[in-house]
Amino acid sequence: VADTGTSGPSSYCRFIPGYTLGACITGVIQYGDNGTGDSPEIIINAQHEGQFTWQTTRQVLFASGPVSVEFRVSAGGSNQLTLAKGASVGSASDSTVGTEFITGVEVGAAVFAAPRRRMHWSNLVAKYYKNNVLREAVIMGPECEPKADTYPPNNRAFQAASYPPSASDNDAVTVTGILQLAGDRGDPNFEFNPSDFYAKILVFATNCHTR
Amino acid sequence: MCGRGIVIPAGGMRYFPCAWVCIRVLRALGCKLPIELWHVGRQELSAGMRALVEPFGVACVDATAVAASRPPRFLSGWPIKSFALMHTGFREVLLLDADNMPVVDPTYLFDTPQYHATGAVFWPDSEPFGPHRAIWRLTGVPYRSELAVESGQMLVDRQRCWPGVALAGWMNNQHADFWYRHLHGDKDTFRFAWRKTGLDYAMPPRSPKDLPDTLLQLDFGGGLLFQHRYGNKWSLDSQTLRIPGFRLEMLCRQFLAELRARWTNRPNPPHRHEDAEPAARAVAESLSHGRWHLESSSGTSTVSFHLDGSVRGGSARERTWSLTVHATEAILAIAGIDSVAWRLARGHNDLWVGQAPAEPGRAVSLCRIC
Repeated sequence: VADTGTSGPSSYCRFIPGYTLGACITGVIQYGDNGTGDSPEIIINAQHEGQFTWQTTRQVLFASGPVSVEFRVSAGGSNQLTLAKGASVGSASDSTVGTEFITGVEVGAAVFAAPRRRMHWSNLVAKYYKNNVLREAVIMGPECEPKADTYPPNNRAFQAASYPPSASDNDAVTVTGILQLAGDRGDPNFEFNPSDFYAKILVFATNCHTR
Repeated sequence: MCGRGIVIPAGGMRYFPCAWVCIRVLRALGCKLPIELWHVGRQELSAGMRALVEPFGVACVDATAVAASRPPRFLSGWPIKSFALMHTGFREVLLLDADNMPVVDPTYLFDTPQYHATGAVFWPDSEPFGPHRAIWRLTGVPYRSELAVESGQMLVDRQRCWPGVALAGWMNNQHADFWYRHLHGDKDTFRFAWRKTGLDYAMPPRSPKDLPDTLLQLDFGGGLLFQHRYGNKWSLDSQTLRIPGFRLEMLCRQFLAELRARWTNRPNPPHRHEDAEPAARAVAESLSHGRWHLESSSGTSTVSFHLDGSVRGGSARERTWSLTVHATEAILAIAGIDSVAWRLARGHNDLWVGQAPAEPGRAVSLCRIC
């Protein structure tokens, strides 16, 4: 049993050392092949895929700019992960997994552990619903949002946080946020591997089942 | 290593305002000791933040740069304290948590006989540490009846106490995942590191006194020395409430206001309608129509939002507002006299729901009055 006391910073940021096992629905956002078609940028539960173009013109310095993300999960099994930047929109949908109650959300960002890669979340919100009514919006401060960054002198290739609800009987959740990717190709002909930039949104639920 | 100085681990939106207040108070009290402000990476301390503190005799030290050749397993959070203690350029260090502050110039501590006798002064926490705790067995330190350590302030001669400093660094920076299961953060790692290496330390005899969210630490003569504001911290991101009995509170608030005015590129300035993007303008104009019920654990009030960025009708927590609107979300930040008090996301039918930043579980909702 840990001691209680008053020293040191409060850990109100809910960073986690790694993802918790047992997620019901997993949304993945990765570099893929930058929307050219073979490797997906958006994946739900490892099988439902979508495309998105991070950068329209390949440059030595890769920068996606701010990309809006929305991951909708409902107990009835309607799950959709959407990326949007200006007129460019990509999404993946899945209706094969249903749940009873949504019990938690984890969000993370990771970059391949080489220098000069960055994947930052901002404006993250987990909105929990019951019977289509918004009951709770978990919004942490900017210092609590996952950021993977290997631009020297940083060397954090992974960071994830938990966004738990206070109620345990929510039947839907929508996770929104802004994701920014950046990296240095070094050579204009160099291309990143699909998972060099790799974010996850995990949704935990009771009675997770295939529909 | 040489000389005497103060080390303040800080950085980021949460701790920088605290460190700013602490630094300004130290200088206002006449303290001339050099100060090192330790942070983890450039994301925690921008060039603008650095420029704010450097004129006050503060050297900013990026722990990730210091650790570049041999990164520790744990650096952010509590472990940065032991890391800074290991790697600071000062031989004799007063380490202060960013949310701590003295009420008198603490320089005299380096000349107290208790410090000279041991080379270290730790301050007590409120509770003793029972013999049943596994930490005694795990460390092999024989049980002794003594108060736990509150590490919001520590005075250490690193040269004399290097074995303890190094062992505390090993516990915090390499094995925090183990030791923090048995201790509350870093604080008693220093005590056990000292005991394990056969070092002694001095401790003021009187237990700390309590104010709401604040621990008051005394010196060897019983005089008030430090105010460790462990809750309700100085902040530009959430409301900083007044604490009755907190010394120098007005001065601290002046310094916080000064930071607000000088830190021009910080997040969440009030809404400027003429500069807003079209999507934000549309949401802002919707907000500005009519009045709203704002409901939180503090009560219910009726407020209205105006396109000049002001909020009318609320409490001191609700004075200005700002918006972040992107393709899939609109986030409303409501700020009070000090800082952002609430952040809310938009739901259906003119309902906004959110919470107080840095206070998970403190919920708020906003609903239009029909």
